[in-house]
Amino acid sequence: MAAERRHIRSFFAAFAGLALLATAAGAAEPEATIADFFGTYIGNGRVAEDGEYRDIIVAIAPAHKGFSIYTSTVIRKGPVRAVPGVKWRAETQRFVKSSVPHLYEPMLRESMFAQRRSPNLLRGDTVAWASIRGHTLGVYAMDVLEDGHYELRVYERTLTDLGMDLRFTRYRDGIAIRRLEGILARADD
Amino acid sequence: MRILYLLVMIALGVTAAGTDVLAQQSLPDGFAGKFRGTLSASGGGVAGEFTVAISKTDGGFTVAWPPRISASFEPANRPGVFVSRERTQILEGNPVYWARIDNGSLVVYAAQVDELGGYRIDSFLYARANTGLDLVIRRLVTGAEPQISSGRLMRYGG
Repeated sequence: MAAERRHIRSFFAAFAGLALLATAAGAAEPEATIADFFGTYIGNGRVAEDGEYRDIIVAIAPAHKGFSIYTSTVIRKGPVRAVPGVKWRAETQRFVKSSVPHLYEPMLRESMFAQRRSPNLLRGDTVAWASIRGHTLGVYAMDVLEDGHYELRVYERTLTDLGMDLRFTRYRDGIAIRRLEGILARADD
Repeated sequence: MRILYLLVMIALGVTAAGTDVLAQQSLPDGFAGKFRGTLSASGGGVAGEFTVAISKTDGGFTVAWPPRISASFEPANRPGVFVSRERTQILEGNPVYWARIDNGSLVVYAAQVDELGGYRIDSFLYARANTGLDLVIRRLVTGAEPQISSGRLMRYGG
């Protein structure tokens, strides 16, 4: 009985030690900076809901007071690219540091006559922002729709040994209605 | 005669539609009062005791819930949608509140972006029940799966 108690004690001691080590390792790991994300990433992904394939290129680069993200996406129904109906989309988003620490906001192209105003969710504006948490660069876009429901689009790009894990989720009123996961490799310079 | 009948039907239709719109621009009966109950949660959602106080105001309503949140709502220029016009700059850390009435249920929303750029969005769906309100809370938090809590709140305090 005493031996059994000793075993249990040593098991918990070992477990506590491992937990402490894990915590220490986690605490020692520095948070990524935006410069850590600069580069080009190539890979593919699939949409959870309909199994559609995506070929993805992401290029993140420094930009004036912030960064830009170029995303190229080939949308295809099956494993072969060269088929009728294949689609391609490309976009570049630019973010600049906001007045709030740790927060980036979309760079707005404004005419010299336009008066700048902060986006207002309740007046139908899309509110978008970006931030880094751990090794994940998150880009978020939120809308309150005409009927009062809300929609949140979350793009999370996490640095990995290979390059980057990509995760996109579209939420409507707290329910995930579209999810895409992808794995990308960092392209050599 | 047929034309007269048509005109009467159109007039009735317009009146009914107008009544619907008016009904959607005010808090339906049964929601005003104080309610409390116990919530159970999945995935780390809000659990335990929960209280809410809902009161009608001139042209709108106020909802107060823990911890010490109180938001006043007034009709937006969209049927069934209400907004809180206090600080609305969500990227400056201000919580943003709005509400909607849908099929006789009241849904209250609270959204906030924290100083690290993380988000928390709660929706509170209140449906009238015999003895109070049924509540479903859906919570979205950065980096976590959606959380759901639910329970029945009983009317108290008269």
